[in-house]
Amino acid sequence: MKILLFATVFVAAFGINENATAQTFPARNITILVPYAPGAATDATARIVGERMAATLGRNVLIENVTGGSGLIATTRVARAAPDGHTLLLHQQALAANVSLFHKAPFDVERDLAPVGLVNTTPMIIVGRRTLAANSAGELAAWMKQPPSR
Amino acid sequence: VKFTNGGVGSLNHLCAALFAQAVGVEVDMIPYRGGAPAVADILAGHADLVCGSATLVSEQIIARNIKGYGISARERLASLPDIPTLAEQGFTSIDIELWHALFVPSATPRAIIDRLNQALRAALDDPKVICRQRSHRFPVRPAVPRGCRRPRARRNHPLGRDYPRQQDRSCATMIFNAPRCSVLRKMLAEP
Repeated sequence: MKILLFATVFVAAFGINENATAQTFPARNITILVPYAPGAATDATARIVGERMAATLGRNVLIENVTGGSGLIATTRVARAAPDGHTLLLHQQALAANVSLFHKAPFDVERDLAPVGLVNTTPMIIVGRRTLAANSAGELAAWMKQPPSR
Repeated sequence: VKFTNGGVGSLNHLCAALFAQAVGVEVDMIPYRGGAPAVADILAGHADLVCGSATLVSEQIIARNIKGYGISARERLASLPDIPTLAEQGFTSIDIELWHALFVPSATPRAIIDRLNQALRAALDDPKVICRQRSHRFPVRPAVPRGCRRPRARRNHPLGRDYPRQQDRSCATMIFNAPRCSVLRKMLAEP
């Protein structure tokens, strides 16, 4: 009975504590880790959205570019960060591709990260050097099958 | 044929592999450290092709410094109305887009994730943010809850049979769990 009572009090205290953390959030500046260099699409996304999120949250949102290791370094840091909402990761499709490519990653994407939300999407475009003769994807395919000797 | 990409496993790489597979040829895949240098070597004429993000290549297509052959998604871009989709040109197997998403450590309290989600949605709804994203060629599809959707599965992928299935599974799980996404959750629950 005593143990049960203790457990109840503990759960209640823990619940209040977590609630209080949420109510005082954010307690300091927020950092968004970007696994790519400044200027790239992921960095642009973080800066555009981060600046506006700062206005809502009432704290600065800092962008930190943590490049290298196919994004694994930035992802590892966020996966191991204090789970208090002050350290965020802005990542892209490669996060999912890495699950297949790096079986020994020091984190499990699905277990260690939770999504805040999808931010945007952008299509890819197949482009070629301007000296290519092909003017459509069909002509390009024909050229790829029989590239002229150069 | 020299096809550059922004790194092994990047979407440039995936897109190039899908296109080469659709054409039915083997190409030389040349990885770079990021999409920007991969595009730079096409501009310089050192390699033939790259499947670059609209963000990186749009200006150069408009300036006619490179030739645009087709968009990897199902719809044309409003900012590049003259560039047809690859599907329109018969390459119907190609339907991919780059996505960006925000994450926190999974032990983060739900109330804090909701706060961040709310701030994210307020940002995505802001006309100034929409305008700035458009200038970077991001189709503005506010993610949560309205535009939240998962990347599609790919079968028989040249990077390995397991690649698309694994990728799709983890993308789906990550976006599946996004806060306030009950509509999407229902959609994905269907077999």
